[in-house]
Amino acid sequence: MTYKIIYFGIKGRAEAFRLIFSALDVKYEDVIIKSADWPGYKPGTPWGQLPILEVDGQQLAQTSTICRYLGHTFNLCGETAWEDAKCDEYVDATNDLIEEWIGFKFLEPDEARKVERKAKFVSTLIPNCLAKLEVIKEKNGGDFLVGKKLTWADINVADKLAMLEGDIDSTILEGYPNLKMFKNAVFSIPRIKAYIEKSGYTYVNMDPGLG
Amino acid sequence: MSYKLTYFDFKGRGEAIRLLLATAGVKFADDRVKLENWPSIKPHTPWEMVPVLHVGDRSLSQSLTICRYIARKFKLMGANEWEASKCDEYAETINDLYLEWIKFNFEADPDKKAELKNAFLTTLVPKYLIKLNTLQSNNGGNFLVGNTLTWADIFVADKLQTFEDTVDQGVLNEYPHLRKMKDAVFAEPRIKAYIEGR
Repeated sequence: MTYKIIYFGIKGRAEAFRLIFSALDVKYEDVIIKSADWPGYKPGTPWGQLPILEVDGQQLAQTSTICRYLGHTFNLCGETAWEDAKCDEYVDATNDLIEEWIGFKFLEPDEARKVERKAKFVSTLIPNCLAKLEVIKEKNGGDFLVGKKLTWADINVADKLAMLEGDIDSTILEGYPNLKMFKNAVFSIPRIKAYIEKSGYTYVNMDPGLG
Repeated sequence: MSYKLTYFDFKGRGEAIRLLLATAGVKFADDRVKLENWPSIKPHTPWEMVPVLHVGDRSLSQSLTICRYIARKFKLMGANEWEASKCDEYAETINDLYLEWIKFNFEADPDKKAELKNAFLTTLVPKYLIKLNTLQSNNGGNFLVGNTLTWADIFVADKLQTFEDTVDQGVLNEYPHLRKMKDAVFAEPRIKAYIEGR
């Protein structure tokens, strides 16, 4: 099986896939599309968007779909149908938060509205989401969000928390001790830790042209 | 196993789930929340949102998650993991278009709404539906993925019906394969029966 991640040269939406591959020690190729080359490349993509995962030449699109596919292929999706669904639920719920972040950070043309949206994001949307996730993590016990073993949802959500720490506020998890422990647990997994130390990607100062 | 779907008393994000449950032959309690009661119910939902699917004494949130759970359980997810992922890909893509529709549909300012409607029909619909129409054509048969009905067909058909009903009756005129797929979904006996009994 050959795997290629086709994306821009940033963490962005593909980082969760890279983290999953690293956790599993599965080789993949990072096909980087430069932003200058994107307009020419775009029409040939399934939906005019990136990231794309290419598996033995077949292409799959949509960030969560790709993560979920990897989760199922490599058995990182919980141990029951219910746990599988809970992985989905937590990823979908946190997607809403990240889509709003992308919306005001990269896509909002009106400066005043951008400030307004960011303020609401910080004062209301983040706490609403993190408070619920904190309770979920606490109730689950152990290191992870679902069941007893690492799932694709843990990697996906930990990555989003890192995104928020990197771009919004590095102290954002201070009021959420269970989430702080959870994120540290995921990023301390030896293969993930090794990947992060090597990769040099950062969420700080992301290129606004690539949202 | 008891199933209860809690959602508002309109189609919105709940209808695809209702159609899916009907296709699966699952009896469920259709718990429809009136908007005026929502403020008192909201704090008791896991993410302060509906739809919520109650399965026995447990609950599941997020509309696509719920669809996927039912589809997996009742074998409406294609024949293998790749087809299951294609179901996801197409549903998530049409969901992106649905999110754009929401912006148009709930716009209060009539001038802005007319602008959004125009953008929806001239730019967004072609952006998504040209490709989806081609995918259906390339797949052959009546469905989007593989040889049998999947939750992606039901999910997409439901959203396309919404666009026809609320934006423009002729929205599928240039996408005959999608119209064929939608008609095939709504001709499925259990879906037909559910709609007639609605």
